[in-house]
Amino acid sequence: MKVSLTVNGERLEGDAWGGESLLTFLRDTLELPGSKNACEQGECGSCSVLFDGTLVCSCLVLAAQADGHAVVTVEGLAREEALHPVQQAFVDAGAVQCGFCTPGLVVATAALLERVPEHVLTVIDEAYFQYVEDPSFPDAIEEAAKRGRNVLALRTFSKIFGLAGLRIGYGVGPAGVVSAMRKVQRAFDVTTPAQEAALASLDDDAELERRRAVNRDAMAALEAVLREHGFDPISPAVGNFLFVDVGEDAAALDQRLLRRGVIVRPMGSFGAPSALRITAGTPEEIAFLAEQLDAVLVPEAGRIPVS
Amino acid sequence: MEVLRPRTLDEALALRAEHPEARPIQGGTDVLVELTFGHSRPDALLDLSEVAELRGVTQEDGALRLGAGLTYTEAMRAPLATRLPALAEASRTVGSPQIRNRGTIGGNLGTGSPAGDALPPLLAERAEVELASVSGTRTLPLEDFLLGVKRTALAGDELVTAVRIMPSGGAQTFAKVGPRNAMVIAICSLAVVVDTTEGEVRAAFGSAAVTAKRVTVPLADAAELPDLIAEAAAPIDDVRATAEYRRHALRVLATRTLERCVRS
Repeated sequence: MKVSLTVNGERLEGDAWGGESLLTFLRDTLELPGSKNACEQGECGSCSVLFDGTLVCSCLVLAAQADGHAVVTVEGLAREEALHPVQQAFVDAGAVQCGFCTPGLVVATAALLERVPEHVLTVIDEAYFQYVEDPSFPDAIEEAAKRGRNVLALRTFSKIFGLAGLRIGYGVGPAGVVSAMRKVQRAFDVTTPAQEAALASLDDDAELERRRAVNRDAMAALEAVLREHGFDPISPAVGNFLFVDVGEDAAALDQRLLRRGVIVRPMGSFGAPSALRITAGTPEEIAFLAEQLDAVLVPEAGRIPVS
Repeated sequence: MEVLRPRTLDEALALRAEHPEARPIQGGTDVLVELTFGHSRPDALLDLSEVAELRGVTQEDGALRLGAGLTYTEAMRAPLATRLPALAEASRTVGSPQIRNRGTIGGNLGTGSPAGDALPPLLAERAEVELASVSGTRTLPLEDFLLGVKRTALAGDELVTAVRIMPSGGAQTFAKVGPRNAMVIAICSLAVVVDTTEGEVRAAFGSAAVTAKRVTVPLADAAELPDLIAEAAAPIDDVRATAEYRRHALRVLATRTLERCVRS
């Protein structure tokens, strides 16, 4: 039977047998081999295409059902010489395993991102960004804001710069968003001394490097102390604090530490009632934390806090 | 193999009467696998995907009529998902986004697998199946429609056109056991509805008998539900699990889902 459809914007026609899938029709008859034939039962997604804009497995659509409809395959995502942003991102990140299912992953990812409407502003909070030492760590200013994505990247002077008391930070985003923010900026203006301090901080690379080194040592010392006390903090961490699961009673442990002069943050409000967030402090503070943990934890029981 | 492609319900019913041997196909998520792996080779396919009357949801006097072409993706969306939350939850467990975009409630009924994910929530809400042929329309309670493993009361000249439900408004949920969360056929599944208007708890299980089955208890005896479900189940040993495991897991799911509904 004749099947005539739009594929990647082009009107195409071909003969399909009655029980033929859209997948084999695309590959063998229309000579578009980008959609891969792997499981042929809707398990793997290698054959994913957009059918009238909806993500489907082409192995589970009858070729005949596509008659009169529009299909976009992985071949149709790129615009002339320019790869689709998702394809480019896969290339940049080396996002392949064996590579066979990659066309399906690309189509499915593109379809997923389509569902974040253009008018929705994505805000990425990078408060701890300057602590990060891995050069391959994603940078929202470089990778999203500067590429014209509808993304507002936020940075602060409250963390590594140590200017929390001055309440100052900055954001990088689309011009339209920034000009809209300017209209309400007056009520949230920062003082001239704060602006001066922030600008001076941005230029002091040597001091920033010193603080990164101090933090690196403090994070290692804090992790060691936590491990000595039988905990298994999530690591490697790239900020200036560790997240550690302490058992069922993080809030109670928090209170015991607080009475002894140690301030940590229970993570119940983040949906992790058994976890604490502990900031890497000075060597003296970390030693003090170790002493107080000795006092509030029963040594032989490991993690069980005593009252 | 011929593909018949009606555009209206009248055309579809006429073709169904003329070609009783034609296999109806909607989203294709079951039928394509059968065809591709040679499990069946019908002389003709009756493609229902262009029949507009089979799509959409309508409401009359509080009762919902879900067109047989309703996809799982559509069942997951508000406002339908707020009227039939257990069906929405069950739909979320079906396959992948690709499968949920194509697979339909009508297809789940037509296939009639004891593992059909939509069936327990529909049974627990006392759904009726609307069947049409050139000679008229009839409705059957879902429990009378499901006859056995992939066997239904659908006559040779009939098509499943809709599911009718009077939503109970009761707290309800769905749970399913499988080797992992995504892309699995249920080892067993359970939907529970706490219907305070009727003063009863209705539960329906899948993958633990030749069809999905419903168990009803008075609200006051809700605590007996796990035992009653385990008694009502008639599971088998197969590649996915043993009968003993299924019965045990159903008991666990019953306790868990009941607690969720009573707390909410």
